[in-house]
Amino acid sequence: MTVAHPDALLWALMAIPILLLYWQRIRTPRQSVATAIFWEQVFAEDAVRSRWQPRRHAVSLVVQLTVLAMFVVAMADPLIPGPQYIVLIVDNGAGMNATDVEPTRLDAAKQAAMRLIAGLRDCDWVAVISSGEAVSVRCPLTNDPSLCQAAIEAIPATDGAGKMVDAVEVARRMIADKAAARIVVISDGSFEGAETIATADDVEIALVGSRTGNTAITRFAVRRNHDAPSKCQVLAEVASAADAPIECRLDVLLDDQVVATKPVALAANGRWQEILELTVPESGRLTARFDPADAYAEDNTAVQDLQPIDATATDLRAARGIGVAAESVPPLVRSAVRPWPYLLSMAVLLLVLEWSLYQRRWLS
Amino acid sequence: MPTSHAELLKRLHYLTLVAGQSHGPSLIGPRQKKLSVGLRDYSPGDDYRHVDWNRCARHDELMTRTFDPFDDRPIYVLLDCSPSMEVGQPSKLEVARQITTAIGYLATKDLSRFSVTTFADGILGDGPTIRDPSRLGKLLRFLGQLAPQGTGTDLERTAEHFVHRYQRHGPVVVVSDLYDRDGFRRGFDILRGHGYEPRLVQIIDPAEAKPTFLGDVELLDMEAASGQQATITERSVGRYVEIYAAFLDSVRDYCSRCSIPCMQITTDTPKQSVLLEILGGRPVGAT
Repeated sequence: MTVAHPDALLWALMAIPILLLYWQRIRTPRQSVATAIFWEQVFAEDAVRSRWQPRRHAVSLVVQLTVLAMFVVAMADPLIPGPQYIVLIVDNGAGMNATDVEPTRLDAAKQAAMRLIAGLRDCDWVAVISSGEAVSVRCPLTNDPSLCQAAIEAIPATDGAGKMVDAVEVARRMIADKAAARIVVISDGSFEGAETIATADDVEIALVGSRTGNTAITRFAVRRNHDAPSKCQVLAEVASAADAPIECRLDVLLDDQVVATKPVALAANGRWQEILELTVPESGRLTARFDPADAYAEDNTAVQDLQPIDATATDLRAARGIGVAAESVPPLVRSAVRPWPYLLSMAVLLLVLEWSLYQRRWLS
Repeated sequence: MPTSHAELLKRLHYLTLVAGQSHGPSLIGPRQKKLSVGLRDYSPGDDYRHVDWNRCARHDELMTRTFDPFDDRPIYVLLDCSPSMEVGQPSKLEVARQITTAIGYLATKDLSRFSVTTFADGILGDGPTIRDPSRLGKLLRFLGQLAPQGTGTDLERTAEHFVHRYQRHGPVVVVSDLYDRDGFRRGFDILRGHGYEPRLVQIIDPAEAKPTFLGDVELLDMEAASGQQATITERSVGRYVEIYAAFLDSVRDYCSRCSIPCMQITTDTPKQSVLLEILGGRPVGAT
């Protein structure tokens, strides 16, 4: 509650002399009497008055303090707030699946949202938005708490990055014409645009979870070798967001069979990258896996489909092996027979690949 | 006692003479004639009052009359030493000491046996038994050592113990303020019922008869040693005065109905008047 004249609250200090005077009054002097027999007869004749007399100072104190409180409140001129409008944004991005808070951050966020709704008045309006892979209005503005609670319960966990900025924009549009309105974001704070949102005046962020180190496979790509199709190159990148160095092991599996293992040593907030040469003639599902102890296990595994050996490449290998006639070779193959154009093409291709890998990140 | 032994005896002797001129009855009643049971030769130290002066005149020989030792008329004082006797200026206990001394003098002057028993919520103790005024010093020393004791006043219990302790009947002077929660009548009834002759000296503090304090006070009952929050108004003081006066009236009525000699003495009464009243002189101002 806000007041128009906060200085008037100082008048509440008048309670101190009132209490001192009360204390002075209740300090009754002692009067020794030879016997109280006769006084008891006097008091017994007027029992009601006798019961009231000792309490009258306490009643007087309550009345005086009540009057003082009424004066102080009247002079302070309290501003009784009207209905408030709250848009509740619950982050259900992938990071909210972390288990550093039992059972998950998302469940903790839901509980926090429930507590917020339970503390609202009947005249307050609430809307619920989730900001997972897609922004979703779970419940429009309503003053029915049960609807909001049901909407919060129904928010699912997702594996995508949270679109919090978009969610805040949607929330702002919902309360654009409301006077006493605010946006409450319940999140772990790990979303794009967090710094901008944190400094916004109309947004309050309620954090759930704690800062924990996470390690993730950030890149995983595989392709067959053109020269030796039974071989393939696997690009693997592991990044650490932990404050301490981590040593672990990266396993590459083909349909649950380990085909390669590499030790991984990561510095604090470091990055590890390597291209593995594997001989894998079969096709199947190639899985990169490592298991550091972090709160979010979903990003410790990456999967790529390994294509079967291309027939064209087989033919090419066979042509080179058996000395196919130059006329029967297609123009590209013919040029490949010449070393310089072939090498040049490979170099260009590698450059394009490198450029794509490091600049466009189309494999990530 | 503020005065010395000799001075006190002198004053009591003087007051006895004054009281004798007024021919009023003393508190312990008229002197009883004691019958002689024989004669023996005088020996130095015998009380000159026991010398048979007629025989001396007729036969010119000093003979001393002898008396039956069981013919003594015992006079008892039941002295209230409860905490309520501490009140007053001088205190009620101080006035009670003076009254007891006067009664003791009066009793021993008549060759009676005199003893003091202190009580509060029961019998507290016994003083010396004396027969001669010259032994009053012993009594004074005992009285000087008395201090308020006990919790409350229980005259009935005191009387029950008293009648079993002292089998020889005689006057029993109760010196008390009679602040007995269970009433004073039962105690006197027991004494009367067992053949004793009770007398009453009720000591009153004027401040008790008309309290002067008003407002919020914590009343500390000296008898019960307990406190009670109360607001004293003019109205309640007026009602108290009425109740207290009714209490004094009830004491007088009871004594009058039962033929018990009764004296009600306030602590502000001059000492001389009090002693004169005890010794049988003119009545003091207090009722």
